[in-house]
Amino acid sequence: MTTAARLRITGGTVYDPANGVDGVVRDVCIEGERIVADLPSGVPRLDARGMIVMPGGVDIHAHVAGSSVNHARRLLPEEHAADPVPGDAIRRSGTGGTLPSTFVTGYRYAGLGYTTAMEAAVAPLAARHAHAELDDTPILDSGCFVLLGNDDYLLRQIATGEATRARDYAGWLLGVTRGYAIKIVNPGGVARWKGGGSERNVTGLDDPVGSSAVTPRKILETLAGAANALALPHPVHVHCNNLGQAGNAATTLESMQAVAGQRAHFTHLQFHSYGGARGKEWKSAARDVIEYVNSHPEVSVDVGQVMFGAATTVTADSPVEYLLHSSTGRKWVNVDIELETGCGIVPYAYKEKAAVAALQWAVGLELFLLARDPWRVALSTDHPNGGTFLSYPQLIRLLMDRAYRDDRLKGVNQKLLAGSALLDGLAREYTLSEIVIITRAGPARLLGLTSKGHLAPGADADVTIYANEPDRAKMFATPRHVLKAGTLVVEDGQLRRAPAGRRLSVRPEHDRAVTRDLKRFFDDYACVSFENYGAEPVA
Amino acid sequence: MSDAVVLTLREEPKHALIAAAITPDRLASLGAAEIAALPVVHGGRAAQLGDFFKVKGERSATIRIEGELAHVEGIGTGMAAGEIVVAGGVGRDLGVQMAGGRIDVHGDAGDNAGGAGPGASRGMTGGEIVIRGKAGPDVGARMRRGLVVVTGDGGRGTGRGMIAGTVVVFGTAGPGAGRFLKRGSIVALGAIERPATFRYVCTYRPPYVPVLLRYLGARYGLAVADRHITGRYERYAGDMAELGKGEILRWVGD
Repeated sequence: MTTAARLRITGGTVYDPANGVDGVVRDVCIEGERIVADLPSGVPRLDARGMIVMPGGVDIHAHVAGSSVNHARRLLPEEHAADPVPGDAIRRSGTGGTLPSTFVTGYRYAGLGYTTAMEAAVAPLAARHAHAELDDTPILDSGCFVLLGNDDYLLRQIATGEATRARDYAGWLLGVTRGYAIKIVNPGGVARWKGGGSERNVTGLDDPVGSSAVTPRKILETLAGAANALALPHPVHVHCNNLGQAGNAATTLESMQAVAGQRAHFTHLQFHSYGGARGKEWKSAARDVIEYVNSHPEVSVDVGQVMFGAATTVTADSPVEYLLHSSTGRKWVNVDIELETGCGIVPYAYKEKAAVAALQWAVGLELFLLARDPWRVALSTDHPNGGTFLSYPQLIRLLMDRAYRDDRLKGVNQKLLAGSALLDGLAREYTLSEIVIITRAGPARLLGLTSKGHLAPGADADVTIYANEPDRAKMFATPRHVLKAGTLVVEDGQLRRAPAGRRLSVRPEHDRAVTRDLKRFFDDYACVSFENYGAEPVA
Repeated sequence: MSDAVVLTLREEPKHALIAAAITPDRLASLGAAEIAALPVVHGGRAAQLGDFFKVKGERSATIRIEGELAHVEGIGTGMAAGEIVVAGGVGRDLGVQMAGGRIDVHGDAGDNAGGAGPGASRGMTGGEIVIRGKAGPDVGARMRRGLVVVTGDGGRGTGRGMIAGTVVVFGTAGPGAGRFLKRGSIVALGAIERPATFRYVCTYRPPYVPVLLRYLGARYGLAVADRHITGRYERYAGDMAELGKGEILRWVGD
């Protein structure tokens, strides 16, 4: 066993907001996979003079692996032909596009200075698939959010008032799927979609789902309570009802109020912040939604910004995908994941000249610019739904450069922008330190990743070093050096190494008695036997 | 600048040779050495055009291709202008997603001529493809605009899922011709099987067919029989399971 590799990053301007460091020239010392306080002289050095040093990026919400992502890849062979990635001594070959192949996903995230990404929607039944793909996604540390908001067994427990068993089930499920957090997608809505009949979605928090005792509100309360009771590092991760509908801000606010007082994370908030009335003219309601977030410290969000260009919508929210397919006529798939959830995929393009896309773009920016606490508002595009992760540098520039933003605003369709705060003129420009918070320090804190998102001794040696370019889009698109767990993966802008990433997972304590009932349920309804379920065989 | 770029296949490739780089718009601005360095894919591995073809001439939007090309695929992919003349048969994906210009093949063509690339919703969006022989399955499939002419038989699914445009088949059109067609015309001078979702409309002398056939005789020197020019055609409208604005015109005699 050789001694752990040591490295001193010298002379860089360090941004480490979690530790109150805002643009201070200092050294960062690394020993093995960790940051250390100091190192003796004579250790290897990495000259970072004139450069900007910050923790590696943490993506709190992206779709990068698993059965849904793979379905989308299979649906889009034209993207593969258009963006082939040849292999070389370091890289495995693959394809790019809006849903890069596993290896390319790792390379490209690292190429932006990101070292952690959470896969935001894993159907428990397909957890093994997700983990297999993440095993082949190099460099990134990753974790899986496990879909529970339309799970048949869970809904049955709610119907019969078995809140404790519901919580034990959530704990058991996270363990056997090697999950990291509980994900809710359109609570009850997907179950209704799958149930057939005339009501194919829920419209609000109090629509009954199968049983009158089961409503979206009840599902939210149960799972938010479970996540907190199980002391999970990340609270319940909620994709609200009525995604993409005009007037859905009311539902979003009601959902936040439904779990008031409990920690909860509301994801891709942009898709849930529209005013107007259902089926009628859209407008922005970003101000109302973000004001609630501002005044409720237990709530955190990520934005789910829309970026103009190609995207692919991938979600467990099947009814939404049906609407999107009907309105665009694009090819699609819709999948029933038996007892657990749904899945829909439609390729999509956001165009500046399209009124709704322009509104979505503006709503996302409003949320960012009106947010008062950057620690609770993470940067995301809901990759690849609102745009791919490769558009993050452009998004950062929009946030940091008002002149550029105002210029872009002039070029978009203004039809639905009346009443948008963005049109009234938002002067705010994010500081570099705030960008570090929304792309690294904040998401790490919201995920409960205590050793990520900062550079104090003991932290993971995930470090990104950027040249100090005035064009922030260029700066964030081309890091000079990236270290992952102490390994220099990007050196002088070139990918040099691609070590495997680590999996982040939880194994919450729960009453094992739940498995007795579950075995009966599996025997009666499931396509797999209880023993073969999960990411690893159930012990 | 030469009158034409002549590409002569040295020997038949062992595996499928994807030569999508052969388009007149591209070759019009390239010297002979640059043409020889264009990328091709042979059996899944990257190679250069010059490894397989002798290149004569440069900087021309007219391309002549010679040799046994049955394993050469994707010729004219996405081309928007110029002309390709092939002195023999070609492999699959001829003129896939082409937007303009002409391809004249003196032999048979493989699958998906004038069709769409993998996953793409539309095939060729303009231009003309003339195949003086048999065409493989899916000739003209999902085409959006333009003209495809097959002097021999059309393969299975000729004009399948056409969005618009015209396919003319002198011989027999394969089974499933015209299925899922939204708009556009399939002109069948030989036998064609009417899909169940096409509805008989009338028997008449469609005014544009003589114009089209005379054009093919004049522009390409195709032997067009008078009976086809002056004859009557049954019109079937369809595909009623789709938009239903397309047609199959079947020649039924004088």
